[in-house]
Amino acid sequence: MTQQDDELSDKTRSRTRRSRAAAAAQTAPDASAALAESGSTAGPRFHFFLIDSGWNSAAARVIRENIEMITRFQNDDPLFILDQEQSTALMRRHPHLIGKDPILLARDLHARGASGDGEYHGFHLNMGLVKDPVTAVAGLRKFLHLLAVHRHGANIEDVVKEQLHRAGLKGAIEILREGGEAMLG
Amino acid sequence: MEQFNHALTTVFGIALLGALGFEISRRRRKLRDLYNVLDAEDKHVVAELDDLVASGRLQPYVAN
Repeated sequence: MTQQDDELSDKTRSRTRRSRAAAAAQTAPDASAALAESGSTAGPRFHFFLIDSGWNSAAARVIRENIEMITRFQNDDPLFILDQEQSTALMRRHPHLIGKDPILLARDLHARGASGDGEYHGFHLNMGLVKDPVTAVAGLRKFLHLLAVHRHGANIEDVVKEQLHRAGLKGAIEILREGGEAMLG
Repeated sequence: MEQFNHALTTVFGIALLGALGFEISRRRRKLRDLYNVLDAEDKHVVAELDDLVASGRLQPYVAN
């Protein structure tokens, strides 16, 4: 092989490498697009909504100050914050919500029967019913903890109902204990 | 006299159980008001929220 032949073969190899690299570069966005698409098909588990008409209360301040904790601990599931106008308009149409806001509503998009057949699944935390900030923070923590721990579960609603039942039993024990303490003086 | 004592104990027992049941149900109701699953009443609220998202009037919150 002559020197000219060597140079030619080097050029050919280099061209082949370049075309492979170009093909790979073209495939990479396709692959990432496909991955993104498959990811978006799975989608977020929850849509969070914050309904807040602007009450000046301790619980309202707590939720406003800890807003980022919601997305941080919920795998960046989208959080939609209604402004005062939107919240007020919603409450006018649904007066049973008045006095309960700020309301953190988590809509479960993967729950059974949540596929656009008119069924809605999810949870709400009515922070407006909480008087003191410590209880408000505890309530928010518990709510986020519950959703984060059970986010891969098929039916979180059952878990929440079970928790409420357990809380009722716990309450019964507490009442008995308080009663016993009162009787003992 | 013994019969009267029995009757009195029974009445107090029933009253105590009633009070206990009332208190448990009050606490559970309070807890349910605070957090619970979405019910039929919330159905229309959620539908409106979905509409707001679908129409683009509600955008996801982005942390600063």
